[in-house]
Amino acid sequence: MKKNQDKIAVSKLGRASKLANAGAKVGSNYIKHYAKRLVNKGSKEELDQDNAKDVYKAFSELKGGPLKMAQMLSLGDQLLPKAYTDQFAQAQNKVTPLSYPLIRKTFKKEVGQYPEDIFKRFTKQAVNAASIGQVHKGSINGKDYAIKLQYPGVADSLKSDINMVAPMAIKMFGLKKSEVAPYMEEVESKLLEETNYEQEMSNSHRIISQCGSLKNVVFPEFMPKLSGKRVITMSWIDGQGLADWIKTDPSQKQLNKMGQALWDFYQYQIHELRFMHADPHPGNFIVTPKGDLGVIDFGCIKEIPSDFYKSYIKLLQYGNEMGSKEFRSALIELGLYNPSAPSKERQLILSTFPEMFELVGRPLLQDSFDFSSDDYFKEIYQKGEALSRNSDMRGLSAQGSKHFIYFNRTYFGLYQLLNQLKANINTSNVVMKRPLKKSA
Amino acid sequence: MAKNKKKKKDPRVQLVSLYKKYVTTSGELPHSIKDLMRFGDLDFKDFKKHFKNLEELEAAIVLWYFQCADDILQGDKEAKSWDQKDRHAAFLYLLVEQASPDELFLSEFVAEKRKSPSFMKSFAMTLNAQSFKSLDHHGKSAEMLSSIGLNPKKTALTNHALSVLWFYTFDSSADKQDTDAFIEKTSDLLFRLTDTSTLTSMFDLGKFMISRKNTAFSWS
Repeated sequence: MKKNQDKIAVSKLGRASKLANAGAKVGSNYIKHYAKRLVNKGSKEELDQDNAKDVYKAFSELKGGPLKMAQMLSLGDQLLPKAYTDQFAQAQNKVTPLSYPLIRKTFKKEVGQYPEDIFKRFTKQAVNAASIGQVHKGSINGKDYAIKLQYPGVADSLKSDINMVAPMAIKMFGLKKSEVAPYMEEVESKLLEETNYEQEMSNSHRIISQCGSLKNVVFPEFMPKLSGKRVITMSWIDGQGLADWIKTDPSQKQLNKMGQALWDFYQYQIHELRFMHADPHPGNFIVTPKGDLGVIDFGCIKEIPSDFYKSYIKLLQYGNEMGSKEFRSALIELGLYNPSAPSKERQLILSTFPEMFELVGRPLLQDSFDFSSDDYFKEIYQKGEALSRNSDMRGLSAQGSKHFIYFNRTYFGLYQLLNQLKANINTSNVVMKRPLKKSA
Repeated sequence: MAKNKKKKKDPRVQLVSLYKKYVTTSGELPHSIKDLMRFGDLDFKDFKKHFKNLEELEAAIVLWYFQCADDILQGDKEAKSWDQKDRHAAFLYLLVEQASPDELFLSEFVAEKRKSPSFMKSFAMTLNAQSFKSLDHHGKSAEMLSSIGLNPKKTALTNHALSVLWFYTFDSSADKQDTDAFIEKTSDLLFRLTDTSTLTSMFDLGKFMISRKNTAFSWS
């Protein structure tokens, strides 16, 4: 059955007013909060929940850029209070479908023939929808294919949405424009890359050709002749979406196998290939009937610059020795520490960051790790939330490399998936190949 | 060997071609019939035999897009199984496809004619008076209203089609993707706004309750 929203904000003005409306609601939530506080009733968590609901509602009605940003923010970015991430986690797979005539027209334009001329069967309704496109299923000679079609005007909408969302986000989260500009640019360029299906085809080729031998990981076969600028055709991978599969109550052994496959897939890319699939949300993975992990989306790929990688690893290695020369030099290289900053700032960095990096690097520094431990994630959220509420952190002269955005997004996304899987996995493969432990 | 008989071109089509050539060559609409006929080295009377004025010829060009789109859609077997919303969207995509070779003409036409509300009004009425099957609306409420000479949904669909052509001429996006998005979004909106199924259900229930003279909910 088609899911439709009640109305769509058509024009830029309409979209802007939708966001302004969300802003106004957030404002009124604050008023309510402070009014409640006068009688000692309102909590900060309640306020976060109210704000998150209103902001999410506006973002999800707009789709495109804001929806994509909502998806990104849902991936455990510790900058945001938990209430926001809970609301934004709903952002996945909620969009209005394209009409069949447009699907047919787009396919003909890109491929040269109508879908019904190529496929014996072709689903007129989308079988899945995401923030920038929707997926149909077709079959030729008994073999099934997934056909991904992009919504029209997505790239332009993304640009305009980011231009609208950025100032609002800056205000809402109390950030400085000049500080977030490089990050916004990074996000914008990555989001725009995702709208380039030809780029995605080449990404997929790059990853599949080099990760093809990984155990328990499978990839679709891409069909360049049935693809184009706004259409991608690939072989259909049977199975269940990762989130749905988890709900079927698989055994711990199966969960661990899936977790291990995910872990190996990411570690191999990060530590061997130095480029990675940077969109680890459950909708991009499928569990096949054989119990393999299917990777189905290659729109977002992040190159990991060599110097960033080396410094990051150094930081993890020396995370427990904040006084060491190596730790400080890694902080400087990653743009997290300014040696000429006032002593208060330097002290703040040196007292906060080792803990954070130890937390993130903990699974990497052990031979095995139990991601089912909610305590570990609570610790991450609590420290992250404390960090984001520490007003001293906002005025730092060193802001950190822009590469942290997608690197952290990928790591936190991966960790969240592993937590959802409650997987207990072997993490020693990284340690053996890359000596993260000083003793190794 | 059979003689190769040349088919004589419809003079109306010849005048339309001449008009389009004038626009693409000069970059503007002809100011008068004289202008146009001088450009084609033709006699003023030749024009008057077929069209009353330039506006009638211009309307004929746009009507031609509608007619072609309608013919193609009516001949598309695949489209027969689609619901009305999808058929309407398909009609709009075909309309744009038909008009796209004449983009320059259309842009000039829209830019010029939007200054003249009276022309626009009469042009919309001309379009509404045509019987394009793709823009016909079927259903109980349409039948009821058409018996008293009204078909608001058909009028809405026709005006919507016209608005799509207008939007198209202002669309500077890559591959005219914004026009596609405009068609998708406005079709969705239009069909939601004109959806009378809730009203029909209400009438149906009302009729049922009255016809049964059931007093279950009467407290008087």
